[in-house]
Amino acid sequence: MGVMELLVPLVERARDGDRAAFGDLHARFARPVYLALVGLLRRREDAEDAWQVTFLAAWRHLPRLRRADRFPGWLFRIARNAARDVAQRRKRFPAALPDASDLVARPNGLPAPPSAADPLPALVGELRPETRALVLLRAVEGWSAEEVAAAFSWSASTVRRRYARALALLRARLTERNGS
Amino acid sequence: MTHDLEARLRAAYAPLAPDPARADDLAATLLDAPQAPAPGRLGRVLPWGVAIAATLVGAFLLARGPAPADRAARPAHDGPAVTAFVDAHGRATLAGVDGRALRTWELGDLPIDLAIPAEIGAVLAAEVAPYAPPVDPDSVPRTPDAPTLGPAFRGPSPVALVIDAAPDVPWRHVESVLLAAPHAMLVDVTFLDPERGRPAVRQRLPFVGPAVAGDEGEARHYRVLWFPGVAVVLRPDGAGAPTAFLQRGGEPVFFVRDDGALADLAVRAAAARPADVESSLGLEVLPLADGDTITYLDTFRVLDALRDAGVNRVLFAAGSGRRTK
Repeated sequence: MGVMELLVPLVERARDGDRAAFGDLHARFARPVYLALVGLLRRREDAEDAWQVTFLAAWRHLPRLRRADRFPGWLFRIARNAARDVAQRRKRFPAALPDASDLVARPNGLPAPPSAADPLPALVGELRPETRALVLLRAVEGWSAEEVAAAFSWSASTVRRRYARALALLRARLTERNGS
Repeated sequence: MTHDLEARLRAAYAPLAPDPARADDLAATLLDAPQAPAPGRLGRVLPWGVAIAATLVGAFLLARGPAPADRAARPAHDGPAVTAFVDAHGRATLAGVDGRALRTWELGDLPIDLAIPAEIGAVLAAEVAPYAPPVDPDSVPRTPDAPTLGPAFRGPSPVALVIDAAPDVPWRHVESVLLAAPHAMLVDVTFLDPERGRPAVRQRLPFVGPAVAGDEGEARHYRVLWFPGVAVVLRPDGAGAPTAFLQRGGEPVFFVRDDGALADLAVRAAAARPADVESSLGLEVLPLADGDTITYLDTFRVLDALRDAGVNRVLFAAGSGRRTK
């Protein structure tokens, strides 16, 4: 049984108000959405704000989702919109926010990366937001190209191409750093 | 190499997860949060309806074609000129001296509200103001109103007004633009042939200098040579065909769309016109009660014929009594 075949009945039940079913959906998507938001926003606090907003909005508006099989794309679209709102708020009130743009390199409250000298997280932080989200979903969460494609409304070949290009870029920069 | 890189990424970010306290918060909120009601049939259909309507409106606007200001190149005018485009849909667009579109008016159904010529006149006046000739202080009457009246003594504007209208547009629409010309003291008017086969007709609106009218010190920019002695009247006949006649009893009626009849009219009008070089010829377009069938092309044909008879100064007057003053 495919992932979508498992997902559709859950979405349909959640759409009818079944909180337990939505709990299962949340368990399935909580971390991927969070990783995508970290990729988009970089700051952990911002990502968590957008993450909460995303799932609350998803629960509230789920009855409006007509095609249950499109749930992942719909959910990630809500997440991207929430990230955009948070980013705009951050831009509007910059003084209230600490400069912590290197979240990906040293996430707050998390164990330090394996090696403090490891330049990889910093290099990931230099990628474009959507590419960063893509890398985190594929490399860290282990999502297939098809799953990422469904979430981002891209084609699977686009996901593969962008992912390969991102890894090549990271590799080149790592080599450059090690060389220097 | 790729697997090694992915492994390093996994190792670096594996612990990354939402703060458990925030996750608990969310779970608690979700327990109480209500769901929005599912949209009804109307809610599902309405967005599509709006999208389809917007598409149709867009297609309609595209089908109307480009704005009049983008029409084909027109004969250049010597010196500065503003151009009034009047399209077949009754839209009048003013193009400034540098060719940029200034504003468009929807002239709408006839009769046209006189407020529109006043608006057009205000825009024209602002556009040609930089070209206004200096005021001769000796010509300004020494009255307390002089500062107000001063601009009236600048004399006619050196900026020409070019009329570029569609052939079938009712003359009334073009007339709205002509009624606006005095607001900007424009006297030099060039009518372009809507069929582009003939040269443009250039006329000067009668202007013999400023005059202060007696009523409440109001400045009138034009001392119009009215009555000029002879006028050509255009009106549809009983069957709606555009005809012209000299405004004198017993004159025959000439069919505007007949070249021979028009030539005859021009000869008669020139002969009847007073020898005074400052005299203008009246041109009056009268509508029928149920609408106006005199088009810009009809009037242009008459102007063209009159030009050939040496008439270059025409006072335009409308059936409603409005005049270019």
